[in-house]
Amino acid sequence: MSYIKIILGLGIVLSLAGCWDRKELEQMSYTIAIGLDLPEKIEAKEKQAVDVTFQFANPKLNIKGAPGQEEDPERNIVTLTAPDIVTAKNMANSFITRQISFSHAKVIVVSEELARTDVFYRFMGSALKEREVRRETSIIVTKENASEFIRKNKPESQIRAHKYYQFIIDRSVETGLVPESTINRLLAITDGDADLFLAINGSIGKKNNGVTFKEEDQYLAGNVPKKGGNQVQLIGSAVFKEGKMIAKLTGEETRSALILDNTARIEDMYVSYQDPLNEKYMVACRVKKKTATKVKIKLRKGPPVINVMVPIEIEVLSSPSMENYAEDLQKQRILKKKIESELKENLSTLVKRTQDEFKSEPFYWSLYARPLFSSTKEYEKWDWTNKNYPFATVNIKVDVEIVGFGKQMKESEMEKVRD
Amino acid sequence: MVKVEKDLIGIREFFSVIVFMISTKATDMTTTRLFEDTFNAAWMVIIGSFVIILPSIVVLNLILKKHQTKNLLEILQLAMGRYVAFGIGFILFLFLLVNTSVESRSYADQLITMNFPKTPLFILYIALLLFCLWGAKKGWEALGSVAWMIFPYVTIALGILVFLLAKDAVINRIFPLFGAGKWEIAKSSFDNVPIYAEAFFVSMLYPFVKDHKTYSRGLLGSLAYSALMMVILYMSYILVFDSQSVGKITYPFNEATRLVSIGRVITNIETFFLTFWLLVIIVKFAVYLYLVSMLFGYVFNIKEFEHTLIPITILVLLLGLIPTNQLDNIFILKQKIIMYSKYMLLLLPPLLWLILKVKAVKNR
Repeated sequence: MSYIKIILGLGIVLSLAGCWDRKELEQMSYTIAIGLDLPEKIEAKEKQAVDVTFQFANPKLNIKGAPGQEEDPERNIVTLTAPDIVTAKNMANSFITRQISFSHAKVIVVSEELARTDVFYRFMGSALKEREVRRETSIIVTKENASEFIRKNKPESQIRAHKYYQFIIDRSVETGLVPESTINRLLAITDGDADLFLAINGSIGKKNNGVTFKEEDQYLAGNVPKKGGNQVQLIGSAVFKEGKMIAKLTGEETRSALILDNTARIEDMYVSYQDPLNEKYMVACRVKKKTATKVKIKLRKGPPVINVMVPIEIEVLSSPSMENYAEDLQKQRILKKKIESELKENLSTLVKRTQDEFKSEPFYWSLYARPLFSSTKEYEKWDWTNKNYPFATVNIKVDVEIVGFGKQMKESEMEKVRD
Repeated sequence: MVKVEKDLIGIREFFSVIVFMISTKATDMTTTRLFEDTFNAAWMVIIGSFVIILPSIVVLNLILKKHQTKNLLEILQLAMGRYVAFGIGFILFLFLLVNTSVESRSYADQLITMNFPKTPLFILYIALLLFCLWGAKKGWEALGSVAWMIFPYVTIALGILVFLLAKDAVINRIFPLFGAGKWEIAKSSFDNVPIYAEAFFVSMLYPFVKDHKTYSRGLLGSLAYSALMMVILYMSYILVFDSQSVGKITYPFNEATRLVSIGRVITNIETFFLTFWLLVIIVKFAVYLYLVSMLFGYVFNIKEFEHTLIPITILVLLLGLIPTNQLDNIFILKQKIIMYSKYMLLLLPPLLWLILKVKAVKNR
């Protein structure tokens, strides 16, 4: 009896150990970034094909003293033309020795060209059938080809590419310059069929573009004036309507959109406003949302009224005009008014643009229209995107509170300094 | 000193066994069916079905109370005579057998799709059932102890999952509140009553539970608790994936465990949840196998029914291998089972009660 037990036990244990699905780390090649491009020679409309770029993690990095990724990027980045993403994995094995896994892929980089066709959503939507594609993967839309973007990307202080993507996306989302754009959000919004999806916009910077100087967040990716560092930039967002890219937002517009969107998480937004008392100078502020933006949609005959209240907290971090805002309540009031009007102006312009140009909104406001209906059928019949939002009256109110003046209260008096 | 009988189990064990058997329905294909019918109101169906089946469970409980030490089939025999009781018992047995194989096959498929893509179905299925068989062989008491032993850990793991999912949740996705519409919800609640079928089948085990108070408290408590757990999980899925998108996901539970991460560094933690999930599944199907063979034993008058476990398991395995894929299995077979079994679940207890009442009046 005991023999039988032992054999049975062994049998169970061995079969559970999974001779089939056993994977050695040594035999795996983990993709960090997947790039998608339209193939050059094949017409995408006629035949299903896509250029897939894989960037692999370099396992050698774990060995002390082994050279890093810099030695030859071509060894870790490959591009091939395949019918779709999933089969490209196997095709790549014709020259890659290890089994390719998507389970640690941090980003999917899509070229603008591809994003503007409806092929994009077909690929993304059905790629999720593959068990290794994960919903928290971020989407980056690039002006150039995705393969070029991935190749040119040389992170400064991190040799490990997966950390680069993770950190830069986390950080840029915190500053509000790019939106959070996971596949999960793309699917939720596109299937919900009521809002616009914002994806991170990335680009390769030109060699010299310090000519056009603007305020800190008014750039599109690729135009941020700088010298040195990584060529690749992430700023602004690509707007997707029904799974198809239709436009781009600058960093500033993206921030406005994120302020209006309650599902966004902005934590650390530094903005400069023109000093109302001395127009030559700017006041640098840290802007935070105090509580969630209040969105109220009122139904009436015809298009609805949308009342939006944006509560903002501001911390004045620097005012080179040396105006003493901390001590003078009157001056504070002027600054407050100024920021309120400027913010309101920005938000209203963006709302206007979305109504006229996009005919839909990227603020996820359909969430506030939903409670007004008791069933999905009524809600869909009412049709938020097509029939209501573009014609709605949107009243935006901004409520600014100045909560702090940094760690140095008073400004030095310029005259005395010069004296 | 009260002598404690070896085969009797207490409230904790009974409670955790039923919770495991029922609340796992928030982690399998049941979710897909519900989301398809009612969109974001699927969680209401859970509550609706519970409310609909509650009277018949209470009635059954009253009957069992009157006939202490007897199980359901023996009462049936008492009420309707040998032949009818045999017929009903046999139908119950068939239903439970097919249900067990359909469900276990579904879980095997789920494991293959999400975790072991290269393992052949046959091997994985055998391994799963062997484990369950081994558990069932240990007997009812051991199963109860194991269930109670892992219960706290499973609850903690589930708590962690829900907590981590909360980060991605958007509350307003719950609206429009009634999803596909109130009528659809009512209809679906009625159709999906068999979600709580286990509450009916555990009445077979009535003589093995310490006393009536333990039984009824354990049963009702665990049902309410399972309903709550399922509602929480369904809500999490809706809040994270949104109602239109969640219907397209085959296994929302596995997808949810894939989505979460602890901070920035600890990602890809689905295996952590898989461990607990597997433990629960094994206990669940061990109890199922035990119940099937017990029913078999009663119907065919086999006193030592535990010897029939091995042939029954083989039968379950063979039946489970018949459907070609999940669609066959869940959307066609399971749908049929649910369609027919709901009437039995809803009507049998009141009918039984009525017959017993009539008989009692006649005898007087």
